[in-house]
Amino acid sequence: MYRNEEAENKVTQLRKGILELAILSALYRDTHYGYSLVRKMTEAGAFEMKEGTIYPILSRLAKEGLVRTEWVESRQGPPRKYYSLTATGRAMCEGLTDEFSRLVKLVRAAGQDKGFESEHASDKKNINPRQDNE
Amino acid sequence: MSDGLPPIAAKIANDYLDRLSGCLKGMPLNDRRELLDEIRSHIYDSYMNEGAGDEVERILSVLRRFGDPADVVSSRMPQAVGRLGKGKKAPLYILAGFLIALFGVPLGLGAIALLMGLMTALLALLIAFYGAGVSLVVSGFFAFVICLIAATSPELLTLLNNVAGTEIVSFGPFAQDPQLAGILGLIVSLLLVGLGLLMLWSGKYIWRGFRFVGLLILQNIKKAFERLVQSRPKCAGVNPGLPMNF
Repeated sequence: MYRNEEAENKVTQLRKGILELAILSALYRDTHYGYSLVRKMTEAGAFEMKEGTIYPILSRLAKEGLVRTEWVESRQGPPRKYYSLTATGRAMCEGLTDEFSRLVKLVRAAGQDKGFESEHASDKKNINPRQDNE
Repeated sequence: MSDGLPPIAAKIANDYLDRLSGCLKGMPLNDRRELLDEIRSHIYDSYMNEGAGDEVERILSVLRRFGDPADVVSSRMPQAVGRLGKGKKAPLYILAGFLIALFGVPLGLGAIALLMGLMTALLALLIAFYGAGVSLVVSGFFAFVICLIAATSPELLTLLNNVAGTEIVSFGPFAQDPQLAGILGLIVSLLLVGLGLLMLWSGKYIWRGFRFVGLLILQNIKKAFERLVQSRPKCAGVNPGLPMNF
């Protein structure tokens, strides 16, 4: 699909930017710990990056007051650090999702003559939290 | 923990966490511990859900998917490093470098005494400097007012001298032309006020120096304290503050 490294770099950058919203979306209804977040996004087919990259993002979200954290003992193995959205985080997630939808519309409208909509229509549900958390 | 990873996998995971810990040197100790605990938990869960294969293959696959330590620290380090680098303090760094070179001061616990001395000297200089600045501005202001009166209504000052019975305001060599004295005095008093304001403004550089030395002292104390807490040197090796067992 992508012809050279430059194109792949652009895709990586795009994914990194959207990953923050994907994490907020995954936490919209459920609490998660790091590994379960990765699993959630891998199942949705959206996570093709190194798993460790989510931790700096989670740390930043916590510093910004968008998520709260809690250590919980695990029945097996080390304790887990659970993340959930704060009220600010929920509002931020909703705002960003709306903005993201507008941007997707913009790209679709701009690329209509290339048949963009039909080719990528299935990607949308992986990112919208209300469709993601059934 | 007995319900953890098998020994060889645990060894590989611990080596990885040690490398990661080495990359997190600039991070506060508590944050570092918490992040490593979290990643240790991630590695454990990931390993337990890793399909078939021997333990070495499984743990290597888990760590490959997790990524290089640099990926994990990439967006954390900038905030931890370079706290001293803010602002234009190059001259102060040169001063600090000069002192270190001149006196052979190692930036360890031994440097604190010298830094405290420097800080006291800077504090005294700061107080004296601001005191001089303020007194110049105040005296310049009063001189300005008196000279303004002398320039516009010199008879008021003569009257004041007569009422007091002594020469409160003296015009010196300009006794014959108090208005000229007033105009010259105005210029001088404006210069005095300007000089005082300049001193107050430039005092911020001494204040920065004071803060810089204070920060150096704090950092040295913090480092010394961390060394005591960790009881072993260098975080490239096993961090004794962390129970690296699975």
